[in-house]
Amino acid sequence: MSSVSLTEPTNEAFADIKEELAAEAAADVTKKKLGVFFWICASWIVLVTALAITANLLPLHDPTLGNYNWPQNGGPSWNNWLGTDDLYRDILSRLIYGARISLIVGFGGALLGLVIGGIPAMFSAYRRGRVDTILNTGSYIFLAFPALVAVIAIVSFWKPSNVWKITLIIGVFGAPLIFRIVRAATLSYATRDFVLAAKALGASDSRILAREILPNIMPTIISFFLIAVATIIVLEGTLAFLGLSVSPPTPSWGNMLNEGSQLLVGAKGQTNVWLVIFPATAMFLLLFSLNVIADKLRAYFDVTEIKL
Amino acid sequence: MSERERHILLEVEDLHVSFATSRGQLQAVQGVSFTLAQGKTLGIVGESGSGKTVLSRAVMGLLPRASTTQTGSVRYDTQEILNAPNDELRELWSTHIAMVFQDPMTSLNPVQKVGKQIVEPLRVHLKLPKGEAKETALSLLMQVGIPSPVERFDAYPFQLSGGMRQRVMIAIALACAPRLLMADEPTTGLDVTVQAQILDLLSKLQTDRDMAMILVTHDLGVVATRTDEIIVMYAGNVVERAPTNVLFKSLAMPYTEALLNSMPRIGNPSHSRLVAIEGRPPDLLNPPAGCPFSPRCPYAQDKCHKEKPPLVEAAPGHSYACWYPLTTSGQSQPATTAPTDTAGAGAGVGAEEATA
Repeated sequence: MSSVSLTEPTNEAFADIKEELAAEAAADVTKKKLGVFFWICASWIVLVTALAITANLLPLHDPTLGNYNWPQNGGPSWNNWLGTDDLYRDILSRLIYGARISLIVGFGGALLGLVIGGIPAMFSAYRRGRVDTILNTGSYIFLAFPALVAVIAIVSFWKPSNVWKITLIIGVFGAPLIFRIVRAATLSYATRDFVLAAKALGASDSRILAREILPNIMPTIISFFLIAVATIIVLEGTLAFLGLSVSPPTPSWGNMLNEGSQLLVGAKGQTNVWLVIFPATAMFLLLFSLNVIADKLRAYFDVTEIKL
Repeated sequence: MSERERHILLEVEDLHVSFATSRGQLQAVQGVSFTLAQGKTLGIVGESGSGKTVLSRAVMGLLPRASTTQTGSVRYDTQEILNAPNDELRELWSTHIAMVFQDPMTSLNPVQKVGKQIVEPLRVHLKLPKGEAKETALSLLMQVGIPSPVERFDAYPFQLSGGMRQRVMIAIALACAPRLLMADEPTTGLDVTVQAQILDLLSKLQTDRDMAMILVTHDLGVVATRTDEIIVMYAGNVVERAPTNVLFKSLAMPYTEALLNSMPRIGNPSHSRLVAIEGRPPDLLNPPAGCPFSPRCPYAQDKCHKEKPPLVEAAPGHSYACWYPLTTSGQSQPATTAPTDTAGAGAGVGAEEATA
């Protein structure tokens, strides 16, 4: 009975897998032994998310409009905490507004992939049969196709690109991978006795999937979801770096890096390190935090698995 | 015997179940028939692989449809349920027929609190409001003998012992007051003292609720005192079928005798070896031409290897499939003794030598 306290928050943590999850789980979990490190990473994600959401309300400079009274490519100053870029725009404000794009594409794309890949995967794995064979083969074929190339091709033809289009495309292309992960996880539970027992109690297929199987595969889904978010943020950065993400002047971390890298060496021979160091650091910390959280959560949920 | 007068709840007629395997059709159940009246208990006995679990799942309609062929007839309360669509069965499951599974360690969802798992069928089938469902669940936990049900309600399965889990399984199965309970080796995963408790609990609940029960087991000791009728299965066939008291008095089939003899007896001297049935059950992909038990049967003669004996009713209620039965029904056979009681008998504890 020593493990009583350990499983208590499980169901609450399952409640939703939106971005609050990290914070929520952190709050529930810090009392147990998840460590300060997890807490710090979760706080960083929460901070970035909160800033991105409340950007309009914050006393920030306009992210798209420069001010010629400020220095061009200037370093950090009292007025512009993180400096200014080539077009006299405030980097801090661009960074915060840019977080919106990264977060929307990252979480949105992963969520979309989860919905269009994960839900069919559960039904497919539970019911098996011909539909499962077709979907499974389809996902293999889809995966064999180099996704990045396909995404680049679609994005370059489907102009003008905006954040929703990017999210949609990335979500669709992420779905087959998520399909495979969720299908495999579901398969390992679909033939367990307690699933048969639920069936013998007259539970419908969707009820069995939602109540019996989903809570069991949730640890897998949560950790894979967070890894997927990180991967997609990088992918968006890649697209932006190639000039294929949201069109300027809308800031995103990716296109800030893109522009910054071209102006790294300024007209007077100086190095404009501020243009890239801040977006790169912000992105690195976010990805790092997501990975840490995913890993810690998986370990956390695994504890109950081992005990069973 | 008055069971003929009682309302017939379940009628199984010539049930065949076969699985499609890569090596051909596996005949798991070959022509089983029986009837079960309300409030009565039927024991299905046989060794591993004799088809008893397949039979019980086929009756429930729980076998995967794609890979099995099921023919014959299963009528619950005159309604044909063999090969019925799942939607139709869902109406029956839990409220009319429920099942207690073999292994309580794996039959409960590991990540859901047990209380929630009992409440679920109440909410879904009986549409009880939350508070009422919880009260019913607590009273069920009490009925199955779980101490401090209020605390156990919020426990996860891994916090309970095997016996407790099986009690919870029984509570879940009984939640919607089924009229027929299938218990598929309900005590196999439990230790001996708990076995007896669980079986006593099942009989008590059965009497209280006038519920019919099918008790599937490999252990004649389990069924000896708790059933009204016994079916002995071997290699997918019914080899003997009789009312319980008749079976132990005058068993006819050598396999039943072999099963009985292989049980440990308390009267035996210490360290005496258990009698095992030599050989192994036949390959069901390639069943032998004659009696399926003939290769292992000590009394087998030429005819046994060549021709399959039909299941004949030798005396009212007592049928067997054997060319050379040990007794004809009605005579008593001093050589074989009925185990007096319980789970204990089969598991090697507490069996008492019945005086012949």
